[in-house]
Amino acid sequence: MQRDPRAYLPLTEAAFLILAALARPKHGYAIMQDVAEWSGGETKLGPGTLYGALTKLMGQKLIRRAGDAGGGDERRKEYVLTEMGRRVVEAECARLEAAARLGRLALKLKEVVR
Amino acid sequence: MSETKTAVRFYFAWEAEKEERWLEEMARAGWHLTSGGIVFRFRRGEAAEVRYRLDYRNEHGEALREYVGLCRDAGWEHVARFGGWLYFRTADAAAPELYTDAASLAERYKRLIALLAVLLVVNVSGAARFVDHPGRFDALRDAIYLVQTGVVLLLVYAIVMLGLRWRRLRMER
Repeated sequence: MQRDPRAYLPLTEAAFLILAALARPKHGYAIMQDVAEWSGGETKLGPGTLYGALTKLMGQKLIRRAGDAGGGDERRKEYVLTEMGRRVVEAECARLEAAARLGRLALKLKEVVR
Repeated sequence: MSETKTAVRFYFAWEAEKEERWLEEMARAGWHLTSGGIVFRFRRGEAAEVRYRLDYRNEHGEALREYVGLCRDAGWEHVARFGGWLYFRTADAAAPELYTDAASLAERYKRLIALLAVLLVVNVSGAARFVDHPGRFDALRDAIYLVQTGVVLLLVYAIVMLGLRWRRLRMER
């Protein structure tokens, strides 16, 4: 019944940042702002792209709708990670860490051999 | 000088960029879009440097309101609608494009192709009957089947044009 979170990897950079942003419930625009900030302006998310990504991640059950943002602004739907979404982010972090370690080690070895 | 202007223009589904550039030119001349599609209506205003973008979506009702709200938050004003086509405008140079990666823009072409494919299927049986036996039926039915044949040819052309765009986008990384 429980899928292996690694089945969802590798994530695109946009998907990873969106999932990371949704560790806390957020509405769409807040996600766009966080993604821009965290990537130092490198990754800009357009609303069409974001909406498509949110729909896909919902379909994959990695995120779900949280309660609406307070104040009754019904257009501001909030999203948040599901349990599986959380595990996928953890798995991707582990994969990226291992990759970074391997890369640095390989570069070090090259220097020693020379 | 009158307050409104009307223009009739036909743009194919894969000519969205051409249509956007024309609307932007109109805005520079002080004409701002109020409704579009094939008959376009503009209202007089200040000359402005804006971006127009066309989008095609299958969402409606609640989901569409959410999408439009998200675009508004990003700085894009929803100014007009023509079936599934949505016209957006922004004066904010910092507003990101609606689609910021090739994959999601490719999805837009895919949606259009899916719509045209449905229309194609609906018309293909009439076209097949005409091509098979032109002149076999009464005048009215023949005329209808002839029109359907024309529609089918146009749809196939449109699907091929959109398909080429879609493929090019999908190969981009």
